Amino acid sequence: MSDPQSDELDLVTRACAGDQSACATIVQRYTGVLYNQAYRMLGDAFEAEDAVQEVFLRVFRNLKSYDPSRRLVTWLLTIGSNYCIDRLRRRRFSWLTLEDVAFWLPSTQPGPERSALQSAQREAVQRALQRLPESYRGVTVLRYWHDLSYDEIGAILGLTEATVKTRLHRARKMLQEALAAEEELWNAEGMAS
Amino acid sequence: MERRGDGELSDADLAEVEAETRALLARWGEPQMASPPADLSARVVRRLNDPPARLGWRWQQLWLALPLCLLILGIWGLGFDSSGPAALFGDPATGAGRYVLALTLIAKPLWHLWLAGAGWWVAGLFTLIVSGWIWWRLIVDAPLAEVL
Repeated sequence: MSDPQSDELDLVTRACAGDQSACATIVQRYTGVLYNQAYRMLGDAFEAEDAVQEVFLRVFRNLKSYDPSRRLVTWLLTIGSNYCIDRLRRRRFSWLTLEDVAFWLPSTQPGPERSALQSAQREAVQRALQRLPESYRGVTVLRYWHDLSYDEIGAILGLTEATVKTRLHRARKMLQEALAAEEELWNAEGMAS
Repeated sequence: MERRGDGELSDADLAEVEAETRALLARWGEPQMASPPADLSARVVRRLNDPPARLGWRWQQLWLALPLCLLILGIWGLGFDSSGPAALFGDPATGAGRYVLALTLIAKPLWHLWLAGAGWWVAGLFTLIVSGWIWWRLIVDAPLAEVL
């Protein structure tokens, strides 16, 4: 059985050499991871799809700069994270259109959760996650959804391990509070209906 | 348990709060990976195979070359003589030489205009760059909603 690291390196080398099937394998293997990160960070399924496409374009444009000592997934998440943060920053400075306002209103479009899992609970977690400041949301998603170590999160976000721990500590508290608020809302709606 | 917070937690405390958070998320049915649309990978691969056409790149280069030509011809016209560059392309009264002479004569007043207001241009540009940099540092580059 081949070592996953050498398998990744082989894929990257072949993709760098222009092997289309290696590129397709990378895309198929990591679309889910990048989509999940973008969806959790941006809070919108359509934006997440667009983000995945843009991130892969950046990935293949910079594939030669990939450091083989790192896991491929952490390198991809680094690019994904930078892209999402850029996009969130740009969002603050963009003019509001009716479409933008509609985006902030409760969505009537079926998101991945609603369509795949039909779970209102998970939508509540997603809403709670969106209440976290971006910098805290990033560490939370990488820690709990991607199960990365503090060290790997630090490498992805360009932070020290201590800063990662600090942000996670605050993020946990905020997430608890946000989920408690969601629970209250949940109970109130349950009582009303 | 009263915790001091941040990175001051002991390993045992850290493990405990981690477990608490995971249990809390589990109560809400998380963490679950959000499933991408089934055709997303295929769409990405298609887009990678068909990068946006870069038609007209030569025209873009030409548009960059034109101001450079004007710059050089203007300097030549101001420093030496207007018909010198045109003479390199044949008779300045006909053919390509005529166009080069026209370009030189267009470039000269532009240079005069630039030189007349050079001080203001430089000061204005400097102010623009400095204010842009300050705006960037203060607003755009500020930490994203850090909550202390």
